[in-house]
Amino acid sequence: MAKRYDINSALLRDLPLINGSHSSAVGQPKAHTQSPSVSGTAVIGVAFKGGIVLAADTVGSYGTLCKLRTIPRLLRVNKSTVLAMSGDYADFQYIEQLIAKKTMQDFCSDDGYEWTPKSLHSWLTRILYNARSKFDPLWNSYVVGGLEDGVPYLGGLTMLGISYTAPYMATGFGRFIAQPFLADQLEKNPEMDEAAAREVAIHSLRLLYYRNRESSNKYQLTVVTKDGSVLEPIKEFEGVWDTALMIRGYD
Amino acid sequence: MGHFDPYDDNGGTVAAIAGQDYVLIASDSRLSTGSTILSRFTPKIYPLSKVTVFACAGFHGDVLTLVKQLEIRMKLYVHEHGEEMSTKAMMALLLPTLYGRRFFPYYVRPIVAGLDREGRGLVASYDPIGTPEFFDYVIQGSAENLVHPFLNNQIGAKKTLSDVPIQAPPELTLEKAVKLLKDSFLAAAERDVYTGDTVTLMAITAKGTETTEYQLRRD
Amino acid sequence: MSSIGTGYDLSVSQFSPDGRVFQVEYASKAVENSGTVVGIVGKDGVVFASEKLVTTKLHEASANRRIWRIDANIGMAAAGLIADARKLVEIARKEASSYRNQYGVTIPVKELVKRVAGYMHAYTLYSNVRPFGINCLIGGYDAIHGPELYMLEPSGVSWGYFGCTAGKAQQAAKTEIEKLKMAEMTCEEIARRAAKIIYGVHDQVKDKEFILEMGWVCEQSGGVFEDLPKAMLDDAESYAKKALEEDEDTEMA
Repeated sequence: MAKRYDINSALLRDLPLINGSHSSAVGQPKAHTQSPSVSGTAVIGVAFKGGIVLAADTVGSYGTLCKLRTIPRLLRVNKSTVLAMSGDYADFQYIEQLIAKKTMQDFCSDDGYEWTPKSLHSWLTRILYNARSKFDPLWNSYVVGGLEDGVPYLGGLTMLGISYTAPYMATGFGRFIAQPFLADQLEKNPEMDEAAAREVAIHSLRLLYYRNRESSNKYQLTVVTKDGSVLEPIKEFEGVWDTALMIRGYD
Repeated sequence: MGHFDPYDDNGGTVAAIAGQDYVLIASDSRLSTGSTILSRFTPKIYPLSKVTVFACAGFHGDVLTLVKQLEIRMKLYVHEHGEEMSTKAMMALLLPTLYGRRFFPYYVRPIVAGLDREGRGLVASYDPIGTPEFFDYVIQGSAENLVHPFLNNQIGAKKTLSDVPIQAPPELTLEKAVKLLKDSFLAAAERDVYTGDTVTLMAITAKGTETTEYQLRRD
Repeated sequence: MSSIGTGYDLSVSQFSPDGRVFQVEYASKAVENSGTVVGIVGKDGVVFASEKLVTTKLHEASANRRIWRIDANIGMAAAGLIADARKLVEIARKEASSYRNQYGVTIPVKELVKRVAGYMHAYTLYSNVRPFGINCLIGGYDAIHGPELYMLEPSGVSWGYFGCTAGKAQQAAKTEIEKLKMAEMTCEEIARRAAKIIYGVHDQVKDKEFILEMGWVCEQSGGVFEDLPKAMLDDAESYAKKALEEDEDTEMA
C-alpha cells in the first residue's frame, strides 16, 4: 500500500520529472559528438484553427536496429506548450532535465510566469546554437508547439540553432515525405479544424511508416487548444500492405 | 561518421535599394537545408529601429544570433542615449560585430538598410567578416549573381565600391524600385532553387513602414 | 532572562567562560522581534501560518512573503530577519535542485534540513560573518514518509516537531497548539485553527495591521506545497474572527 518512492510518483502532478543524472567524465579530453546513438526519426507538426497537433512515432533506433519500440518523443511542458524531438535521445533527456529545472524554479517563485511556446523556442535555440559553437552539438531537431497569447504557434529548430516558424512542419525524413502532403492539405483546407489536423498528422506518420525504415506504426499525439494540452496515450495503426503483392523483381 | 560541420547554408536572397526619400528592402521567404525546404514562411528581414532594418541570408543560426546581438546593442544605446541609433551608426556597428568573429565567422550575407537623419535612403552590404560596401542598391544571397547584373543594367553601376553611402538618382522613384525588385525576385525564383515562395517588400519613408507580399514560384 | 555577555559577545567565534556563544543567542533575539509563524502537522500534511505585520498601507498585499516554496512538495516559513530568510530559501532551493539532478527524485525533507542546518551552522564558526537571524520551519509531505516538520535555529540546530512556533508570540502560540489533537485533524481543519491562533496572538495595540499568510502541503493539495487556496483562506479567516468573538463573549459572560 505504500507507494513506491520513485520518479513516477503521482504526487508531483503537472511537473515534469527528471529521468536520470547528468554528470561529465573527469580527466578525459572532451569528446566531440560525431553521430547520434539512440535516435528518433521524423516528427510532424500541424497548426489548425484554435490549436496545434504534434505527432511522432515511438521508435528509438540504434543505427539500423530498431532497438526501442516504445519511447516517448513528445514532451508536455505545460498547459500551453509541447515539444517534439528527433535525433539523439540522450541529448533530449538532457534538455528534458534543463526544462524541468527551469520549470521548478518558476514553480518555486510562484509569480504566474511559466513557459510559453515562443519563450521555450527562443531559449532552446540559444542552447543548441551555443552548443554547436563549442563544436559539441546537441544532436536534435525540435518542434515546439502551443498557443502563444491564444494564437497557434509552431516553431522548428535544428541542431545548429536554425529556428523558424511555419503553419506546418516536419523534421528529418518527414521533410521529404510528409511536408509536401501537409502543405497540400493545408492549401486545400486552410481553416482546418482539430479533427482534420489529427487525420493529416496521423496520415503523415502512415506515409513515413511505409517509406522510412526508422519509423513504425506505434505513435503518439499531443494536442494544444485553449482548453489545455494533452499528451495522448500511445496508439497503433494498422499498416495496409496489399500493394506489396504488386511489387515484382525483389525475389 | 563524418566530421561535424557547424555551418549550413539556408539559402534565400535579400536586396535593398536606397532612394532620395525612401529605402526599399526585399527578401524571399524560403529557408532550405541541403536539397530540402525547412520553411516557406521565413522572410529574412529584421527591423532594428523605426528607420533601420537588417536583412540577411546565409546560415540562419548565425543570422538569428547576429540579429539578437544587434537588437541588444540597439536597446543598450536607447537606454544610454534616450534615442535610437541612427542608420549610419548601425552600419558602422556591423563591422566590429562581424570582425569580432574573424576566427569563427558568422556565415552570413548581411544588408543594413534605413533612412538617415535627413530622411534619405541608405543601404550597405557586408561580407561575412565585416567588409562594408555602400552603394545605392545591394543584393545578397543565393541569387545575387543572377540579380546583380540585372540591376546593374537597370539602375546603373557608375559609382562602384563607394565608401560613402549614396542614393539612387531621383528618377528611380519608390514605385519604380518596387517594380524592379519584384521583377528581380520573380526572375530569381525561376532559376535559383533556393529562392522562392513569397517575396516581402518593405518600404520605409518619412510616413512610416509599408510591407507587401507577392507570390513567387514554389518549386 | 537575558544575561549580558560583555566582552565575550563581540564575535561568533568566541566562547564565554561559561561556554555560551552569545552572538548566536542574540540572533534568536532578532527572531523574537518578528511576526509570529506557526507550523502544524496534521493527519495528512503540514500547514504553515504567518502573521505578516504590515508596517505601511503603501505595501502591496503580496509584498514581503514569509512562506516560500522550496520544491514541489516542500515549503519553508521563516521568522526573523527576512533578508536572511530569503538567502536560506535560495540555498534550500539550490540544494533541492542539485539533489534532483543527482538522484532523480525529490529531496527527502530530512536531508534538506540537514543541508540547510549545516549551512546555518557554518555561519556560527567564523568571525567575519554573522549567524542567520531567523528560525526557519521546513515542512513537506510525501506518501512514503508522510508529513514532516522541522524547525531550524540560528545555531544550526534542528528538531522535528508536530507543531512549532517562532516569533513575537511564540510562547502564547505554543500554548494554543499544545491544546490541539493534531494527529486526528485534517489539514483543512488545522488551517482554521492555525488562523485562529495567529489572530489570537496578534497584539492589536502594539502592532496594528497584519495580513494572514498560509501555506500547506497535504493529500488535498495533491502533494504539492502551495499557498492555501483563496476560498479556504477566507474561510479560515472568518472562522478565526468568529471563534475569537465567541471566546471574548464567553469571557465577558
